[in-house]
Amino acid sequence: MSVTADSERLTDTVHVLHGPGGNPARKEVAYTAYVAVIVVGLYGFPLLRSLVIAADREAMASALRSPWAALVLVVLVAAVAVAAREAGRVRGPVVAPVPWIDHVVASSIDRWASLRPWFGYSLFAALFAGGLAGLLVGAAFAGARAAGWWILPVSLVVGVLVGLLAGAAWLLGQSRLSPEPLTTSTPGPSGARSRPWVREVRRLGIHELRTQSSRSNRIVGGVHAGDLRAVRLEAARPIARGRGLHLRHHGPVMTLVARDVLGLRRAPAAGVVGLFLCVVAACALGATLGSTAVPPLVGFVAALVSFLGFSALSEGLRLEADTMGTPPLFGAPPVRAAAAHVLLPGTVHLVTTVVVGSVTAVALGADVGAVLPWLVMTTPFLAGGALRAAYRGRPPTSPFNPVPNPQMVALWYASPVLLCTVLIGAMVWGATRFPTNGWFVIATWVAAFWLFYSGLNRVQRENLAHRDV
Amino acid sequence: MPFMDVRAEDVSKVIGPATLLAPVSVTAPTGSCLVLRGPNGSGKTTLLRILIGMMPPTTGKAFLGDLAADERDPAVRAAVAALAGPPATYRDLTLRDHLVLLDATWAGDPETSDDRVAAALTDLGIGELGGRFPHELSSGQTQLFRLALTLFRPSEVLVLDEPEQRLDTSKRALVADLIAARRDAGTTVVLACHDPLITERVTAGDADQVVDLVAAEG
Repeated sequence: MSVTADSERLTDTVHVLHGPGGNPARKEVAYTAYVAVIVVGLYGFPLLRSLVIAADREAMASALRSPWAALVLVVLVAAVAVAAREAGRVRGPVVAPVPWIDHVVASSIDRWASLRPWFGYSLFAALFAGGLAGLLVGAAFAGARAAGWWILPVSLVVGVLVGLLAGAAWLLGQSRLSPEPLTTSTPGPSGARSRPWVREVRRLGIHELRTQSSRSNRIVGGVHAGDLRAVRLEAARPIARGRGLHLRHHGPVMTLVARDVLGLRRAPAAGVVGLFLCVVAACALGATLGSTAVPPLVGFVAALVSFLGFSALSEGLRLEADTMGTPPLFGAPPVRAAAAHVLLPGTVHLVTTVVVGSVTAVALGADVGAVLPWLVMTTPFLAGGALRAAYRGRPPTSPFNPVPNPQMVALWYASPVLLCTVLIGAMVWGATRFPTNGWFVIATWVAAFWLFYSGLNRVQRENLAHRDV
Repeated sequence: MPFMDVRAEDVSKVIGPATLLAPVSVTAPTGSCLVLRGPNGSGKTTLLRILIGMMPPTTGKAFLGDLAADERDPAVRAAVAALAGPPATYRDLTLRDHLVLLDATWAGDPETSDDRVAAALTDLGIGELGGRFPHELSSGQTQLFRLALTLFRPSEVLVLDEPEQRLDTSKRALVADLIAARRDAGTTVVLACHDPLITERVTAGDADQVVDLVAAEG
């Protein structure tokens, strides 16, 4: 089949599908980019600039010129590349609609030719996102006067390069799911054969393309419907390790804890990531509580990281929450089961935060007794947040608004992490300002245990609320 | 464990303009088997969901013994084992682990747990699959695993929605024998079923019944 014929066939197909106006996807991508620029300009830039100023612009300016800045950049870029490659295994850059895959990609038309538009959209998205992110960071530093305006072109170029690297890793993550083609002489445009991205796109098998396209639809549908279970199940990597490990009967409660331990042994990446984030957050919490030189903003960031760490360790809790709404199979009462599933992440978080946070605070000259209660209190806050996140149910609706709007869904998604970040961050801020104020101490303890109680209450409400209408 | 009968008194289900279940009354005495048959859309699954308390009827009432059928009642949840749709399973547990967890949450004897788990899997012909994860099963094996989960938990009432799905003839016979054994042990069984083999084997007793539902108009 000649290349010209392929091109004509594709043009005809697009004409049949979309009429003389052609595929509107390009316009939709351009509109999305336009909206992204407005959102970043209106909200991203002022927020990040404020954060740089709040975090002490002098310190940020000197940090920017230190070798640490380069190290942080390298680590961030590596993390982005790894995350992009993993993302490609779930939902790669080349995801055409299922009918297109079934009727066009599966035909004799050159695979690169039939998939080139989706490759192009994703390449543009990666470069644009990288460039915009770089520009945002550069503008925030320049706007806060932590750096000169020279930083703008530099950050833009760095951002675009990082976007390119992420895009390449994203494509590799997808293409390497398919085996190497048996034939290497795939016909294509002159010179195209030698281009690595063309080879990677041609390597994509129909089964993987179809799987990812269907999965992408289900993930998008799950996000729109607020069905996080569906999203998680679609995005999660199948577990196949630790087959030789067996769950043992240790009684009604401890077997649930043993289940969570077994789950982390079979998915150790979640455990390692969770532990790492808990340690990093504990360092930051200890430093904020132990030294007045550390900006209070660090406490809020530490709270956010701590929530993410706790969450990474809480897969057992989420899986338990998934059973809501199905005919009861397991005998443990829902609230007791949820509380049992909090034991493992809570214990790991408590020990890590107390030990690492105390050591950090003492190293900065603080008294252990002064920081310990605040470090301990972070755990009930996070346990409550994890319970509210796992049993968050469906987005709220009302008689006037039966389909929740996107802002409401976004707020509903983010509410547990926002609540924990604000409450823990405020607690750390208050602990450095008026640590001996009795009212503050009482209010903090009450808030921590209210959040935990509200999490358990949420379990009970979800348990009673899912009956069909 | 006291066994209980299952009753639906003139129950129906209407959602908007659609009648999912025309008014019907059925009774399954303690230790008997009730098979619901009928064409697609006749309301078999709807009736099962009403009987296990997962769905409130529009008219009429359903009872499990003296209890109103409402799964929010812990006593109802303790009494009913149901396979009505895919149960939520743990993607990081093997088949064997699932049954051990199930046994622990129902306060089974830890000393005999492993043996009973192995026997439960073997009874359904999936004993050699105990070390697999749920996503590593074929569709027929998945159905057998779901049946194993449902049959393994203690219950006074067993409700199954088309247990024959995706099973070959020998496995259907196996499942029929297991259901009949549960009925003979005193469990009240209600199932929706299209399979003549299973229907014949589980309704051999005097108290057993077959009820043909008729699709509602509108």
